[in-house]
Amino acid sequence: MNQYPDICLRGLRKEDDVITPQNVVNTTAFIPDFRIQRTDGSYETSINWKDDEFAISFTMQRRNQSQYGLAALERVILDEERSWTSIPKTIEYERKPDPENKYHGNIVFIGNKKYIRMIAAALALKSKFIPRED
Amino acid sequence: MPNLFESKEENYKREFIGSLYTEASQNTGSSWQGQPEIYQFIITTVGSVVPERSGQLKISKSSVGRIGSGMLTGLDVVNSHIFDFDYESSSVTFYCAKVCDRFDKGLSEDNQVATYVSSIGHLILSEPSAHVPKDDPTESARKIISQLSNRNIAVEALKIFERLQQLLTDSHIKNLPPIRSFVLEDGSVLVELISAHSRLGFSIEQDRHESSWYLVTDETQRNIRASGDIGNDDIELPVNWALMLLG
Repeated sequence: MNQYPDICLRGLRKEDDVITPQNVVNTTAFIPDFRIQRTDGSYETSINWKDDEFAISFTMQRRNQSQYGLAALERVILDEERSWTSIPKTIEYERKPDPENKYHGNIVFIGNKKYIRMIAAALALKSKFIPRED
Repeated sequence: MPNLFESKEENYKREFIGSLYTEASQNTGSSWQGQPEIYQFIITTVGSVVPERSGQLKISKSSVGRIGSGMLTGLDVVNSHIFDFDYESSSVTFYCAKVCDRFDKGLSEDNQVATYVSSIGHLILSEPSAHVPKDDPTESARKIISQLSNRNIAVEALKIFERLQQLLTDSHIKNLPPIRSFVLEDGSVLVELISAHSRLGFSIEQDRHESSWYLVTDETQRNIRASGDIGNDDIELPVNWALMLLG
């Protein structure tokens, strides 16, 4: 079994993370918080890996992380954005489960913020919005 | 051609009002109230001197003007837009807002304006959206910018808007998607033109040399990834590129 499933989920925490009335995911949902830098200088955007059928409901239940729904992103898109040769390598992804969230992982952004924003916009453009049902 | 703006002057006026708001909110934290009262004056520019008006107000050369025999006003304090005027010409049109709580009916017009400038830190101004045409694609984005406390970023964002408006007005694209702006956690501002298959974004940073643009598209539009700096460069290239895709 591949270490990573085909889909990752990004919780939409802020009203700005969804463009209404079109109901599309905004770039802000994927831009990392540049105030928080990892020890290696990279930045991260938290995700949950859709390892099973419960991952969506689990993520939705954590309302503080998904008050405005979820963005679902295919892993092949992450791989595509990793594979550009015409721009410096800008993203990686990882699995980083914690005791309370076995699905947890990160999209890891590396390098120039200019490229990070661009790739974040591409991820948002290609993600699918999953609204809350409650 | 889409009728995005009522006129160039209307555009300037809204730009100025938005700048006023930024300055006032930064100085006072006050919110906008009441109805706007906007005055338009024809001002004869003084030129390249750097005078000080009656000991009240330092005025840089680019913003010095004259109403009748009176000197006025440090517009560049609040309105970088003034640099687009040819201030060496014989006259320019400035806009100024009435000072609601300081207005003295006994003052001449030029003194009213000077009073306004000197008391800008105490202004309570009115909602700028009252002047925005309904089909203005920048309307919601402007509201966000007008509420920024960081004046440097607000001014840079307004410059982007101004140039965007110019380029969009010159375009022949119908049904342009709205321009949106967002304030991010680090205080930077993201201005985006979002369509179903593309995103054109401008990120305005505290350090203007870190400000940048990007254009991304999906497979239906050749899966483009492009970005550049906007600190010193014109945004015409990415905007026209995006407009070509929208067309």
